[in-house]
Order: sequence, then C-alpha cells, then structure tokens
Amino acid sequence: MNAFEPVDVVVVGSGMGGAAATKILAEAGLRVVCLEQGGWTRPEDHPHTSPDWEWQRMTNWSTAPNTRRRPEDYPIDTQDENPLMWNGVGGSTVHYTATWPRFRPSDFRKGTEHGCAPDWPFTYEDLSPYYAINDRDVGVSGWYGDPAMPPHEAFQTKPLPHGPLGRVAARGFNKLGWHWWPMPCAILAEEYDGRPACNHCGNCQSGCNRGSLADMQVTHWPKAIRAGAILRTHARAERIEIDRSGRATGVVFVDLNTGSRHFQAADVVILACNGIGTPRLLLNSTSNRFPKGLANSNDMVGRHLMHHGLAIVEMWVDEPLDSHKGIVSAAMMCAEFAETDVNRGFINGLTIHIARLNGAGYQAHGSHSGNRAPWGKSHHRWFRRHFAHGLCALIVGEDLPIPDNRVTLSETIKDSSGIPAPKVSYRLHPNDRRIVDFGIQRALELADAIGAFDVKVNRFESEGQGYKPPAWHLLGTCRIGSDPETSVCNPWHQTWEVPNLFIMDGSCLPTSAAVNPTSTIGAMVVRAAMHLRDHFADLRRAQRSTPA
Amino acid sequence: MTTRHRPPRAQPQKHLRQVAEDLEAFVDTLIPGDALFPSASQAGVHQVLAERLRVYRTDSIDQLISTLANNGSSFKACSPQQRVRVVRRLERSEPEFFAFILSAVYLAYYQHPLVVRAIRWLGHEYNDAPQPAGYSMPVFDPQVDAPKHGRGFYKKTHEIKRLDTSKLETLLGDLPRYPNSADGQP
Repeated sequence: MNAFEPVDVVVVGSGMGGAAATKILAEAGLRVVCLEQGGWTRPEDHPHTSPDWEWQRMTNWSTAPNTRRRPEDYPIDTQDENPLMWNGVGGSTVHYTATWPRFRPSDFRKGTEHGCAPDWPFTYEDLSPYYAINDRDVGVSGWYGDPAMPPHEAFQTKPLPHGPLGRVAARGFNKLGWHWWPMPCAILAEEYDGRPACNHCGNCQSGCNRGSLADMQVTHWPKAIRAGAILRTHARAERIEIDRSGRATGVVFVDLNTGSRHFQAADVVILACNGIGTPRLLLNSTSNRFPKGLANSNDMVGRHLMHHGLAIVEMWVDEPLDSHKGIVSAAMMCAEFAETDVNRGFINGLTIHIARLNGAGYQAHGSHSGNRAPWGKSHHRWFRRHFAHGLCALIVGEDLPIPDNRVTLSETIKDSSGIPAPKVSYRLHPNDRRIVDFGIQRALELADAIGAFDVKVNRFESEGQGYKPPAWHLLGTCRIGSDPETSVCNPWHQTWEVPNLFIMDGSCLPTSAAVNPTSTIGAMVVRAAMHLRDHFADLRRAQRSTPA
Repeated sequence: MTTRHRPPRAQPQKHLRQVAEDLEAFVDTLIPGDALFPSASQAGVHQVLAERLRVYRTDSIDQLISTLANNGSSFKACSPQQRVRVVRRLERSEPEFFAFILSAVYLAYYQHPLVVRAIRWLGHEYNDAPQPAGYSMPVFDPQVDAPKHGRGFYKKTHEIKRLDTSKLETLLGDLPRYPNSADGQP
C-alpha cells in the first residue's frame, strides 16, 4: 500500500460539508487533502443541451445511485427508500434543487418543546452568523423580511421570477389566509461572484451547466484549490486507521482508476460523506478497540436516520402556468403550519413548497405525482389540457429521530472495491404520517382555492411496501449533542471517542426540521470548521475530546 | 450515457422487418397522431424504444413482440380494436414492464423535433432542450410579487416552553425521551 505524505487534515467527501471545511482550513494555510470517490462534472457533461435530456434525467442522471449505477456509485441495500446522492466532486450539490431555507429557532429546541427529539447543543441565534457566512459563499436569492423567520442579513440577489405559476399559488394562499413567502434559493437571480444569473431552463435536477446554481464545484472548490487544497478524485475511502492511543492516523482509500489501495496520513480526519456514507465508513472501520465501528461504543453511529416525511399534491388550472419554465423547486414556501400545535394531533410541523413540473415528456409521463397522460386516442386531448397548466405542492414534514431508522452494513452486497454496501432501514413514524396526511389535506384546500380542474396526490407509497420515499435528505446518523451517551459528536463536531476525528455533514443534524437542510448543513460546518481552524494547534494533538 | 451494451444477435431480414412493423403499430397504438401531433412512429419512437429495450431490458424486444401477437397473428395484422385489447392485456399482466415501455415511449416522443414544433404551435414557448437558450420569464416585480400580507410567525428561542402532549401519549409512547435543556429534566 502506497502512503502519501502526511498532511494536517484529510477530508473525505467534497459536497457541502467537505467543500466548506476544506476551503476554510486551506485558506488558513493548513495542508488539506480531500478524498472524493467520483470525478469532476464538466458543463458539457450535463444533459441540458441534449434532446434526450428527460430520459437521461431518469437514467444516467437519476438522483438514485441504485438506478444510475455509475462506476463511482456504490450500491445501497434497501427496500425502504430511494436515496438521493451524487458521488463526485461537489457531492449531491451537483444535482440538488438548491432550495435554501433556514431552520427556525424552535427546530433547535425540540427537547424543550416536547422531549421526543433532542435539543441541539446550540441555538438558532448561535448559528445565525454562520448561516450568513455560508450564504455569502454560495450566493442566495430571496426576499428579505419574512415574518415567519427571525430577521437576518440581506440575500445576495433578488428573488427568482415567480412567473404565472407563483402568482396563482400566491392568490390561493391569500384566499386561504395562509402565510407564503418567496423561497430562498442558492440559485442566482443576478450575476454574483463571477457567476451568471439563472436563465430559467427548468432542469435543475440534472444540475446546472451554467454555474447559476450553487454546485460546490463552482462556489467552493476553485477557491479551496487556489488556497492550496489538494482534491484527489476517484479516491474511495475504505476505512479510518487508528493508533494505540485511539487517535485517528489517516484514511485508507482505493484508487478507482487502478484498484490499488493507498494511505493518506493526517493529524486530523474529517468525514463529510453524507448521512449514509459517513456511518458506513465508521462502521467499516472496526478494530480491537472499536469492534462495533469507530466512535460507536455507544451504538449511536447510523441510528436516527431522517429524511423528512414527503408527499406531493399536483393541481391543474385553466390558465397557463408555464410549468416547464424556471427553477424546479421552489417558487415559494408556505410556513403556516411549521410550528407545533398539538391540537392538530401531532407534534412538529410541515411546510408546503410550490414547485414546477419539468418538460413535456415528464409532464405527459405523470410529472411528480403520477398523473400520466393516458395512452391511446385521448392522449393528445389530455396533453393539450394539462401541459404547462399544472403546479406542484410539495409537503415537507419533519420526521422524528427514530433509533431503528438506521444505516448498518450489508451482509450480502459489496461495492466494486469489495467494501460492504450500506444497508438502510427506514419507516415513517405514525406521528410523522399524521403530519404528511395533514399537509395533503391543506394542499387539497389550496387546489380548491385556485380552482383546479384536476388534482393528483402522490403519497410515495408502493404496493405492498407502504411509504417508500425518494429520501432526498440524508440526516441524523452521527448527530452532535451535549450527551456522550446519546450522540456521536460533541457540539463542535468532534467525535466523543476519537479526539482528532470530526464529522461535518448532514449526519450531524439532531433533528430534521420541516425544510431542506443544505443551508443548515453548510452553516453548521462553517461554524465547526472555523472552530477547528482557530484551535487547530490544540485539537491536532488532543488526547481527549472536549466536553460539552 | 452509461449503458450495458450487448452486441445485437444476427436476425433474419424478414424477422427484423416484422419486428419493426409490429413496433411501429404498437407505439402508434400508444400515441396515435392527430391533426397537429405526429404519431409516435412518425416521430421515430419505435426505433428509440427498440434501442432502450436493448440497452436496459436485454432480450425484451422478442418478449414484447411475442406478447403482442394475438392468436398467432402479428400485432400489425390486428384491427385497431384488437390492438387496444392486446395492449390493455399487456398493461394488466406485466405492469412493471409496461411502465418501463411507457416511460421510454413518452420521453422519446416528446424529445422529437416534430413534437416540439407541435407544442410551439399550441402557443407555448418550448425549447428542443433546456439549454443553451433557457426561457424568458418576467423578473420578480416587488409591486406585484412581494408578499404584503404580513402573515407568518415563529417562536423565539426564549419563548419555547414544554408543551402538554398528554393527549398524544398513545401516539408518542414508543419514542425515547430527551431532556429539556432549560432545566435538564425529561
């Protein structure tokens, strides 16, 4: 096994967490190497200019690695869901929707509010300055002054266009007397930081070949590399090695081009492989000292997986909505039901996002709800009536951190390097089922309010299997906390058991909130990486993790 | 595009012609033409379907053709009513395979330039592909688009207190309980 020259920090994973951490530490002058199992995605690699762009989005640009099956993907052993992830430089920011809301103050205080989920070890107010730093790094479009959120710094650009679709949805929310607000998005409505404004092509789910959407390949990596960081692509991490004292010594990785194994030594190891990949790597790093996996003596690694409870209600109206134009998700958000009201029959809350429907083929195929144009003689009649006349109400409900919703190692499936695949088990708790059902009813009221002539509900249920979500958000499996018995990391993302091992990705979230998580993941990582930077001299030699 | 290629097997010319004719009749049963829209075969969908079946469902073209055969006669030889019955039978008996076919057919159809042109004739601005042109949209106009309702609220951190969830105990009884960080008590 070839050993590379030791560095100050080795980071595994190059998505939101890995990119932000690498940039901050490299800009401080530290020697940082990032290992990424995939490669770069060039603008011309995206399918946006190909006539078969919609077919590609469902095949080799599928959000699900089990469908996509690229050489750099690893299989996921699960019957419970279809996780979204991208294995390449930028991680899942290469093909996400860049929806960029913040968590709200109560999201950090669920232990206080009802006790069925933990309090975070810090508050919204503690994190707020880091949201602002991260927003400046990615560039966020939005409209300031939402009464449903605490005041904060201005957005970098004005909001993206609402178009007729947004205006019709706003009319419906107004009729119902509910809150709505333009959704903050990490997609530029104006030129910013050398990147162009969005031109509303409507294919965000295959990434962005213009650089208008905050893919870490265009926001963070050029700056990190300029600062001296080394990004090693096609380098698949296999395990973390430790010494006799229990400190991490570095990462064993496989060169996917040759199949050969190498060792990258470092004083500090940071994992940022997402809520499935990070616990997988820890569980695969067994030793005499850590027989259940690294940093897992309390059996917390891999547990409390959260994705959000999801449903989609699509509705079609007589007036044209241009549903194929503009960012896919989301024109606006309704936070009327975001706070807990136990009189609704559940704890926690939900938001409703107004989204678009992609191109003509996808709309005929059923768009996000499965309302498919019939085959046969009535096909064109249906298409004329529905195409560009629909909007999508996406229900995003908070899901609880359930110990049995978890990532373990598959006993039967391995990836192309012989590393055990992650096995994922997930069931929606009855409380969270109620949230989704409540949200569906509210979306049906919206359909009524806008005079929809057709409505279709997608509960993400498959025959004989029940709820089987697309699992866009991979959260909670190595959570931070104040209690070493019930968490994996301390409030500064340092694992309780291995003092020079840090986790900086969606795994760390103690609760899921009822909105997209990437802005919060970014803010948490900025906070943790700046702390690591500012205390690096001590933390690189630490023999014990810092108490909460 | 990532594919799992397999060299096509040698087939007698006559057989290949029959397969092509059956596939044309099949896709036209799924998407017939009308005064504005071309039929699926006019948009070349049968060729794309054959390719997608070959790449993603090895050997399934023969399976499809034999399933479409109606009492020994080829699909093309069936009457329009018989074709609809045969397709309905396929839809019921092999729903997963049929769903794949519909995906392949619908997405192939709507990528064809003739179909894109028909969509434009309906009055929609619609591109052959999302880029490079993108779409024009009216910019966010604060006078029209900014919310003026004043609705919305959030609980401030210091306002968050323990809620009475006793009515939900049956629902929440199986969950672990965590301390209230305000007083350290569960």
